[in-house]
Amino acid sequence: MQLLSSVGPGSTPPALPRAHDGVAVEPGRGRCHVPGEAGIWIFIFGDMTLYALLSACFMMDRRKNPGLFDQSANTLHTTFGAVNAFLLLASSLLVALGVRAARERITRYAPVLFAGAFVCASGFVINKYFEYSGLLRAVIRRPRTSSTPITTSLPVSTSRICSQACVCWSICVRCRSAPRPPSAPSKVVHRSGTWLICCGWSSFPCSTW
Amino acid sequence: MLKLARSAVTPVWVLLMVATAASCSLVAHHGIGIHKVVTVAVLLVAFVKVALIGLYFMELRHAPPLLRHIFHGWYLAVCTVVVVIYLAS
Repeated sequence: MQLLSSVGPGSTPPALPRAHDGVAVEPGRGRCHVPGEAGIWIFIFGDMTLYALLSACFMMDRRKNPGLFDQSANTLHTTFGAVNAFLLLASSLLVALGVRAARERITRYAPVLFAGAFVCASGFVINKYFEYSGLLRAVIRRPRTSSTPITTSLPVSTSRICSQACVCWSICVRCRSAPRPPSAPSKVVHRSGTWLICCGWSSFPCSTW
Repeated sequence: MLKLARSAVTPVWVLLMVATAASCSLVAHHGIGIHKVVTVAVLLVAFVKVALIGLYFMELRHAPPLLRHIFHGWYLAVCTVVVVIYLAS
């Protein structure tokens, strides 16, 4: 309150003390802070538990027939996977830099960086379209006579990329919205950590798999 | 723009790209599941990448110790389980 009460109606608000990468540090809390909002971490830890169980179940199933799993793994389209990984990593960097730009109040670059992340997200969807359409065509042409399982993560990938696209879009809209009152710090600066976490979390599958 | 690019996430991002390219190259040259050492190496690289994304892109390195310890515990536990079951099969 002391910080805000010292700001006059026409003056520029003083910037909060910064740690590395423009992360705002709340007074009295040192460099330690919960990234984004506490609630998002409940969702993320739930997701992490799901991934842990999924990994353990997959590996336990693999033990029953390692030969079949290795044979199936070698039929996967690693090129599509690599392109997806690079697109997700590129979009994560763009969002991280965009969030930093918003925190540092460099409003000129933030929308451009988020738009770049949106382009990468669109590239991911297009890549998935080609990957899955090829698989579906192969399934339609050739009835499943072999025992090779066809694994797909379409719902997971689609929901992740849709959430990432929504995040980028909402940040772009916020950045272009009406100028904030001088005494009220922008919501973009306060909430940006949550968007950063969402986009960082969307990169987890590409890192692990 | 240069000021932004000097962020700590930029070198980490380069490292992640190199690690991804290295994993892809290993898989392309050796296949999947043929050499156990290669598969374990790819798995370890993947979990290092998970740690880097968590610490730098999700800002966990500035997080309270409890949050940080849960995250470290998670990827170490999952990595151990996956690698041990893989080697045992």
